[in-house]
Amino acid sequence: MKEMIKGILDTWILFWGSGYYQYLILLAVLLLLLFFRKRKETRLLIAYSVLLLVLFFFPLSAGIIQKCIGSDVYWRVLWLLPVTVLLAYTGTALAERAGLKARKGGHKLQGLVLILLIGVIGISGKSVWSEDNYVQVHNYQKVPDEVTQVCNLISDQQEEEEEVCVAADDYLAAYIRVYQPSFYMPYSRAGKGSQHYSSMRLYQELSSPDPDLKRVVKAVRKLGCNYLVFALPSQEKQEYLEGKGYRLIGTVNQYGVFKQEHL
Amino acid sequence: MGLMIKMILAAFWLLVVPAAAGAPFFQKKEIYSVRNCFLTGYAFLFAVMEVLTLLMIWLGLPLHILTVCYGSLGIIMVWWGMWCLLKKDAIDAYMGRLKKGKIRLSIPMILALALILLQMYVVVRYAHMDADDSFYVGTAVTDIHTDTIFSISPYTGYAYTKIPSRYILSPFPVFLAVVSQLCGELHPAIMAHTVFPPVFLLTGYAVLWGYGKKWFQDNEKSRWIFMLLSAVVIWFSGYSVYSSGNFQMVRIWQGKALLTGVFLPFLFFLCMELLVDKKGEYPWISLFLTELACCLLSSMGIILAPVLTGIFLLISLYKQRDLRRLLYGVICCLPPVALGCIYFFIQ
Repeated sequence: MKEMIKGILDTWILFWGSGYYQYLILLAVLLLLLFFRKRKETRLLIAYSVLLLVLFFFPLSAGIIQKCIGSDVYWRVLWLLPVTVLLAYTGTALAERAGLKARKGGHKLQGLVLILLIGVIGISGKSVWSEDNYVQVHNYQKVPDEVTQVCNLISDQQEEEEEVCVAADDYLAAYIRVYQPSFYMPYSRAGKGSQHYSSMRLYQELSSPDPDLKRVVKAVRKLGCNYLVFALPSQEKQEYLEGKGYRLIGTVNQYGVFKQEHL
Repeated sequence: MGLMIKMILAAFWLLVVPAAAGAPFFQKKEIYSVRNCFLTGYAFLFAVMEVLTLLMIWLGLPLHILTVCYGSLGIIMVWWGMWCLLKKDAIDAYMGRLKKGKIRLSIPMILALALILLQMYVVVRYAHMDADDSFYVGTAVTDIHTDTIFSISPYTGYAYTKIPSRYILSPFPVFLAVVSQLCGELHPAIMAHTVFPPVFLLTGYAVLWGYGKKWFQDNEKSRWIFMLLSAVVIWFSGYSVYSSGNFQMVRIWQGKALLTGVFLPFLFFLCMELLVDKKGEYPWISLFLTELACCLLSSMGIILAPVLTGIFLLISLYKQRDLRRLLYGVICCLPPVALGCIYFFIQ
């Protein structure tokens, strides 16, 4: 029980991250109760939110929901909290009241309240427009540019009726089949889709900063992969790969693309 | 086919078809509203897609059959919707209402529209890299390439060795595949990353406009203040990667983001209208369709939709003490409950 409660509290903290929206919601509820409690939408919003939070925090209901959806994604229950609607409604009701109350200069007061509200929301949260969220790419599919270049390089080298099976590091593995579905892969992001011990081993090696090429070659041969993409290794290691039948066909930024020659 | 023609086709399948598909559900209502028809149209199309896809997965049919079925249904719904609108002279009445009601420019209106348009510009102009695409977009791309539905793993390109039970009941990627095919074989990644975001962002704001219209009926300026504040709240949702606003702004092409950003707020609105209020603009079938649509979007929808409705049923029971509403509400929850049971069975 203690663990369950701790888990629920951790989920709550995790969901709100670095912002203060949870306090803003609390403030909004207090303001609604103070000034607009007679409005039916106020009562509905508060009743719904309270019931939802009871469901969220009560260990028995939390346990049942976690059984259904999994405890690792329990935070998604908080999607049911009408955050946008609740905050926007409270702010609008306050701005409307400011506009009505002040007989003279009502518009100015309303404008000031609106600016204040936008400021408070801005300080409580964090803009989604950040470098973490958005990047600029130069392809219509909006996948990392390296992916398009690697796939095009492989397609150029692909022989007639040759089936391509590519093994790549974690970053590229997530997008290669999104761009080029005719390619096969032994695994995708985070090793997902892996069906053999060897493919998981290969994923771990290629995603490590210094892959053990002996293990890589062994796994690649076992899985029948004819293309290898990972951070370009040292000259000595490239020669080792060449000795094993893997020729460097090109480089894309930090990546080296190797093709298995016919033996 | 040129990119421009594909974009016109995308506008047809993602804007015209839903707007027309919703019209027949409002035949008994006094007035038509493009927004109501559009939202109910999407709920209908998603619900139909859920049923058709599950049926075709079960029968092991190829993707092109599903594409033909969905495409034919879309065309029939456009024809039926237009017929409904013309029959009631709804277009003339709508244009008359537009002419009658003067649009008064206000600062909140300009700011709200500017912010929403800016948000739409950002999602079209820039890219968000999300590894979840390896499954969501990957499934659509793979299904098109192999002309199959959920039988080839998007991770590897090889056949699934076991049923992907977590995803198979919520096949939103198949919707992406079908619509991409209908839009002149537009690459699903372009559809997901460039076409879906502005359309679904707009759909989300159409839902929010409903709240503003309902709660601030007599004050147009307040409605725009509500929209402006909503847009600001969503804009500043970057405090956590788990927040609904963050999902909505960053990766709305994924079913779960569409669920949290558009369909859960829409379901909330419908529950408010149909279960708590005395008179609503929407018919009961909207609630039923939306519950089913939530199931298409994400496996989370299968559990979250009935939880949301359940809370409203409790409020409704306390407030209205109307057993008929309770019964209707319970019936509307049946699709997700049934799918939930199937999920436990196939897991």
